[in-house]
Amino acid sequence: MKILATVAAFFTFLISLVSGVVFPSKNQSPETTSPPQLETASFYLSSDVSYPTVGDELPVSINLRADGVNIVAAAIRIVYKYIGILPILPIDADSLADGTQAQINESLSDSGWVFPVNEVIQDKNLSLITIDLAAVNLRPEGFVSSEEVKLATLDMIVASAPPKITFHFDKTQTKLISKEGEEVKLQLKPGEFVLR
Amino acid sequence: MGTFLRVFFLVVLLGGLVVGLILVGQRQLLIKEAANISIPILTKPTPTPSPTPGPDAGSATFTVRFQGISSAAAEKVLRITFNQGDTAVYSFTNIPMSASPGGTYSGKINGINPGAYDVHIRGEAHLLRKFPNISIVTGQNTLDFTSKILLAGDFDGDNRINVNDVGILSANIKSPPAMVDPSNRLFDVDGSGLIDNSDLDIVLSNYKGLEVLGE
Repeated sequence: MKILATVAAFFTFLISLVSGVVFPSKNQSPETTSPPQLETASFYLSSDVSYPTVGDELPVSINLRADGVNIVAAAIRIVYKYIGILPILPIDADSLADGTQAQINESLSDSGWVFPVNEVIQDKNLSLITIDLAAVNLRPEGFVSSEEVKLATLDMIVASAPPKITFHFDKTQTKLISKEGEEVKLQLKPGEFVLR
Repeated sequence: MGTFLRVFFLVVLLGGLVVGLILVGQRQLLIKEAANISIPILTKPTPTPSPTPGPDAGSATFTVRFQGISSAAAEKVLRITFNQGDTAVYSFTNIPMSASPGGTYSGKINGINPGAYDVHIRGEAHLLRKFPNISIVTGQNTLDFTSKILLAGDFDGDNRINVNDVGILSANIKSPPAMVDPSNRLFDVDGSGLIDNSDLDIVLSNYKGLEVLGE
């Protein structure tokens, strides 16, 4: 009887010990070293042209929806990996600037936006197109919008027609920064465009 | 006997809970201490020379330029490292730098054994600059590092300028502009005494790619 009571007491102690460790932990907010992230916003791609054929222009817009978060800066990297010959040829939006550039949405300058980074790079060795874009808002109060904001458009000529082309956001280089200086949690969906 | 067992189990149960809570408390304390680790605001020079300087060790007065500053401005601090190959032989942090009327900053370090070094210089919010093959001799040395300006904008200290740095600075730009105080002095890039868009303009002049790396 004494042995039974001792064993039961031992297990009771263990159970209560685990309860003491586990349940308080669940009620306390975790403290981690990862950067704080605010509400979810999204970058996504769209085009006004459906099913372009060879020789057609395919304009791809880079859009932001920040859902009312006060933001000050954005960095975007979009990559397109192709096989064989490049099926789409980026059109340079600014022949006076070095390299190939996307077409910035000029109307955004009225709300304080500047674009310090804007380059489209083709790496033939890696069969890769990379579009880098950075936008910074110069207004001290930041920028708030619940609407879709078109940041820039990359015009391309369809040179050959694979069934579809898919642009991906680079998740490590694509960031949105709030007026508090923190990264905003992002939804990043690949952009798929069907060619004919 | 029944009452004794009930009391016995109750005491054991409470004891387990108390021990558990103590363990959690200690864990939370450790987490909190870890979370409180931050980059110190550098105010006092902390030279950490190694090896111990010999009797013929030299001292050096050196000059640098910080981007955006062209007149006398507030004191700054920087880190300077003397390397041989991949080894940092001497590392001095928090070196106080005072500005001349023309905006050139000067500072002084002591206790460097004679030899040739690759010198790495980094401001508190500036990208690393490398100056190869700098010779140190016994006695007083005068080193001019103004040929390469220290580029501003690395506010998080990762030796790169990216959108996070721009965001950190933007978060500190208010309307009306904030006056500089010890908590925000890093963001006064041009030394004007205000944190405003002229500081941001300087940083944006360096932000030419998504990641601009120091040397």
